[in-house]
Amino acid sequence: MKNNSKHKGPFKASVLMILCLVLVVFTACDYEYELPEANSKADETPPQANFSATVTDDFLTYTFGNSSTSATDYLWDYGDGNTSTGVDGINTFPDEGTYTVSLTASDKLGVSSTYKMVIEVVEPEVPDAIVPKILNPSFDEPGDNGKYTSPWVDSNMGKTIQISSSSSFVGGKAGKFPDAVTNTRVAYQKDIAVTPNTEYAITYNYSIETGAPSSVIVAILGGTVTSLGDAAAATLKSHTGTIQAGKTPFETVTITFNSGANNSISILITNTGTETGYVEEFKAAVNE
Amino acid sequence: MKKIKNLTVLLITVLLASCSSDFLEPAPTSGVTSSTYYSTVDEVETAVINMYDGIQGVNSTDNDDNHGVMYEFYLTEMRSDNTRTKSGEGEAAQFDNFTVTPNNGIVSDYYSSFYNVIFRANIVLDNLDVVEDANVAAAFEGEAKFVRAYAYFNLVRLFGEIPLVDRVIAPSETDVQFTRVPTASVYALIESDLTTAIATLNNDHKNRASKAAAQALLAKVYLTQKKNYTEAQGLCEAVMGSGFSLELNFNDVFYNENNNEVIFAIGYVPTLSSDSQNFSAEWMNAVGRTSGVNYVTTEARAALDASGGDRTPYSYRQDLSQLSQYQVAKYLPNGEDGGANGKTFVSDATLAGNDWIVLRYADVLLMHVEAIMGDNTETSVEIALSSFQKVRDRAGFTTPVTSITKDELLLERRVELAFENHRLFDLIRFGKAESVLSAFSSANGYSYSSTDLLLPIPQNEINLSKGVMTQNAGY
Repeated sequence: MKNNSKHKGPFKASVLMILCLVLVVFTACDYEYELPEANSKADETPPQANFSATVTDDFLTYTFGNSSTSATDYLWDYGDGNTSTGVDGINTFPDEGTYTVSLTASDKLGVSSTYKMVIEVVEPEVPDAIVPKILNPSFDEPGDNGKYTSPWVDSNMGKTIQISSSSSFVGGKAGKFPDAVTNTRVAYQKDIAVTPNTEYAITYNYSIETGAPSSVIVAILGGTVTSLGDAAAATLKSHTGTIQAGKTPFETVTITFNSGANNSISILITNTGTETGYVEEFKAAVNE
Repeated sequence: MKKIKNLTVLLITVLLASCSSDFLEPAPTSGVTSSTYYSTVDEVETAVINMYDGIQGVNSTDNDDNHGVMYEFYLTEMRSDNTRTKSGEGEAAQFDNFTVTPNNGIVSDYYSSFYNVIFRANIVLDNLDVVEDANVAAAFEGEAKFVRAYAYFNLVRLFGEIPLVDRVIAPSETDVQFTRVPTASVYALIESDLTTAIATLNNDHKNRASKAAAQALLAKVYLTQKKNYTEAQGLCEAVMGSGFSLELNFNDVFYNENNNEVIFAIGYVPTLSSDSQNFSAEWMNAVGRTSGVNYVTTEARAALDASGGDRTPYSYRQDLSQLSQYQVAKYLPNGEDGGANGKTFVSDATLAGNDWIVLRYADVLLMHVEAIMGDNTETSVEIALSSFQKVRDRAGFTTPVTSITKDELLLERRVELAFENHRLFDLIRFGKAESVLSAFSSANGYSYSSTDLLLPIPQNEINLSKGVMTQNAGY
């Protein structure tokens, strides 16, 4: 035991010496960054973070395209607690709301850049189909010019219709189409907004005086035409009324049609034969 | 003295009279320059034909030549999940695994090819004043604007913001050559050019611009920008009312040239090195310059096997020289199957005459569905179902569909238009590129990231711009 303890002294000294040496060596290794020395260059291409966000078919899920430059490492923070470190990002947000997504792009020199984008997560509404709005639908409302034919007049298309007053008409008035052999009478209303590719139903009443064969024709046109000659090509659907039972009773007609590739429709009313026709009470609805 | 005066006057008169323009005629015919050449209708028409020659490209193996649309499959189909190189090596494989570099020669070839096409179109537009017949001048203008719009539409989808050259420019106008403009400005020119083309063209040609081609292209331009869906639907319906129809047999679409389904195709003629194409040979096993490119991926085969129906055997085939590999069966060189080993051709396969179809009727029918669907994720509108059903019927799927989802439409486009350079643009347009390509990339060990959806601007252009031109992100 004594021998052992005698040997303790020198052993202790050598351990101390090694420890000292190690300490000196360690302190020489300075891990702090130094100022650039000769021939070393500053980071001339620091990272620049940037990204774009795209919503997917699921309105809660976004994909993020990374367009950062001069960066090697990325940290995505989606603002809802989720993070990721891939180049591109994808995230499903928990619910509707406003989230700030940030991308921190850094290089191996420890320089970093952050880009933030505010994402509004909103469930997209499926818009209801537009219900067509036909102006002065029963020829009972005087327009700005005081005329009950407004806005059914288009001088490019043909001669203006007349207005007939009678207590038997709804609202007291109706569009009147006298002898078509003498004059071509045309009522035309354009720019009636519709949703494309939607089924619609347009309803109206007509009557024709008894006598020589005559008719009242109502055509639904896609878009707008500027001459009567173009009407046939634009017609979506039309109805030719031939029931001649006098000024009253009225016959009710429903035209169903699909709006197709049109954002608006127009209604064209003409007549044939010598007997007077009457038209009133236009109604339009989405045909579910 | 007076005599001398008179003589002097006479001499001067004679001298002056001899200086007439006749002295330098006839004009030298050997020294044709662009400033003097275009003086008649026929000469301007050579400029019109010259545009299509530019799209055709030069059938050569010289890297300095422009190969036009012949190289398009590298940039589009091979960059999608439909095709890849056979070897997975070299410059061409950069497209497979999403590692395209700015000095990729194929990218630079396509870029310069299509700016050269734009130059050729601008030459036509610059010389319309010598055409006296107003109708002919309007038709030439329509053709040139269609071609210019077609070229810009390809470039803007591939490269993003690009220089906008809408007239013949001088070499000194470097600001025009190298200033990248926003894509909205490029699309504005494309739309206005196509609108002019629709107004002035008729449907007389399939290898040259036509009204229907311009209508179909404008519909696609609107769909790509996710706007004007109703107009796009109307444009498709206009084409559908122009007398085109689907071929009964799917194979005939590709081997019965200029059939009734084709709306616009780039014409090629076999055996003539000046007018033939080499992509058909490149797609075979070491028949062309490469060992085989545009080979069919496992993913594309799976999609075609499951959803192609009657189209599948005419879309891809096994490589008989290398049984583990599969080749595109559309556009086989001059329609030959290559015999027992699939690569022995009677005619010169590298001088093939198969036309390249840019727009065909099935594409328009499916765009019609897409336009009606608009921003929704499905549609059951009757006319959309009818267009969709026509394409399905030919493939042998005659059970009526009652609704179409966006994914079903994308899949139908994939199997109908496989290997026709649509897939990548379809994925981007449908907003599915990110999810589909990242899954495809990780399954195959490729390195896709979202910046790969745009190609790099060729390094050569960046260098020539002396620092004006910026590179796309990620390169």
